[in-house]
Amino acid sequence: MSLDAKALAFGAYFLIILVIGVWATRFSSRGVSEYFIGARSVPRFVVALSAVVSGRSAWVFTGLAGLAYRDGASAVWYIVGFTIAEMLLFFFFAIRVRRFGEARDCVTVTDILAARLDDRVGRLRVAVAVPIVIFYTAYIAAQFDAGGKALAQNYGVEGHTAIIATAGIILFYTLLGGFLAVSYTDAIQAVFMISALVLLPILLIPAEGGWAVVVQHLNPSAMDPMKIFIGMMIGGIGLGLGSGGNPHIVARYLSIRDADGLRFAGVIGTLWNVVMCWCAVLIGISGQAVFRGETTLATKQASETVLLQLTQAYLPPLLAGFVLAALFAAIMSTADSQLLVVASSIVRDLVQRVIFKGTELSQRMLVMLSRLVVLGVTAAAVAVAWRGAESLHALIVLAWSGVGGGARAATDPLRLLGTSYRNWRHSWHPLRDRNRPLLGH
Amino acid sequence: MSESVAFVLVMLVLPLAILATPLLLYVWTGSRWKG
Repeated sequence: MSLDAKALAFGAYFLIILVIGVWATRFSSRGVSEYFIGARSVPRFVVALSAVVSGRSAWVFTGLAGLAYRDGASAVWYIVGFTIAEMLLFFFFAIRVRRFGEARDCVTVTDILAARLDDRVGRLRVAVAVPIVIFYTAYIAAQFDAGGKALAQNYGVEGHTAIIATAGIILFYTLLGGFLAVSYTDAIQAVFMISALVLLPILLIPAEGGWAVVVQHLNPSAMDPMKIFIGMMIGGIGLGLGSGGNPHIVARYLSIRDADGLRFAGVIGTLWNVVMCWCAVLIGISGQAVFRGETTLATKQASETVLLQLTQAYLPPLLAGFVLAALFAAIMSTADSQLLVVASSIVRDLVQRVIFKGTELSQRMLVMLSRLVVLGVTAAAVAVAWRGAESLHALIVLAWSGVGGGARAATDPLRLLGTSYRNWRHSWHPLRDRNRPLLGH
Repeated sequence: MSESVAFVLVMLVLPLAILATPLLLYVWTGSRWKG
């Protein structure tokens, strides 16, 4: 694919993002609620696509297609697991979160926990917000590094320049447009992703001589969907349930215009998950026929490039350019959401609710402070990514998995019980009310 | 059950079944949540 087509597609994509960023600026400047959760007025369709894409991100293009390339049809059980888990979250968890959030004026996941557990002093806020700030900043750095590498590999930009460019693009629209810009760019990315994933098998399979020919060249085990069944299902369910524990996904639940719209979002989100992911599996399986006898794709890391290689071989140059841009945007969509989570933890949870508790701060001042924090966190993350040592990122991933996972494991049951507990309007504390039952009254 | 039949089931029937589930939930929860 020529660099011109790639550059043209990337330029067009970038222009769309810029326009959205500028368009959302005025709205996002009104207050903290507008800047961090779109003032609970984001359309249900945008919330559905944004929640699904923020959860899946670039993994559909790389990890899932690679999984299907290596393990064949068994990969569908992974999709079944997380699709059903996420669907149930939309219908039975998200609606409760949204209603509770509006009733108690919650903007962050920490707000929800503090309101639910009656944290009047602010200790809980500090205990939850500080780890979020530390580990999310490290995670953003890893995203800048990944985005920089994607930019360097596909567009020939020098390493450090690529990191700065990645951070600069994300900073521009996140700083100006806040949550609204992040959500709408996610939705556009979702449309690009589904278009590419549906179109690729339609062009690829006939070009290879039809499905009958493709099947002839598959590994015999690729057709067996029960090869790895239980493990795939459990892994998928874990991934799906975990998405409801991410602060940036909870922000999407809180942002929807009406709580009832989350049922609609559940239908659209499931549709998007099913179509995108099944197409990715079909592409991965077809890749076995296209790259038969290719030993260089045997490793896990190499197999994750299958979809990108097929994209460049079978899609028209301009569309393939858009897929590359969408892949880059998928990395960006993770980082922009994390940036807002860090900024909201600092401004909303620590500054507004702990440091200046009882003092009325103007909404414009809080938004200005939020933008400064976004700038500061971006600078800190760039500084970490700049050093770029592989061991440092391994440490970040390990820390994120360990501490992040541990913290989530500790708070998830509280969140689930907190939203399911019938008497949720009244405060409840696990230590103060030892004799009170957790569920039912 | 032969592998090819199982393959068709998981690649065609299973996604349709999963797509039908939220539609059923949408109808079922409609009256429940609005109450």
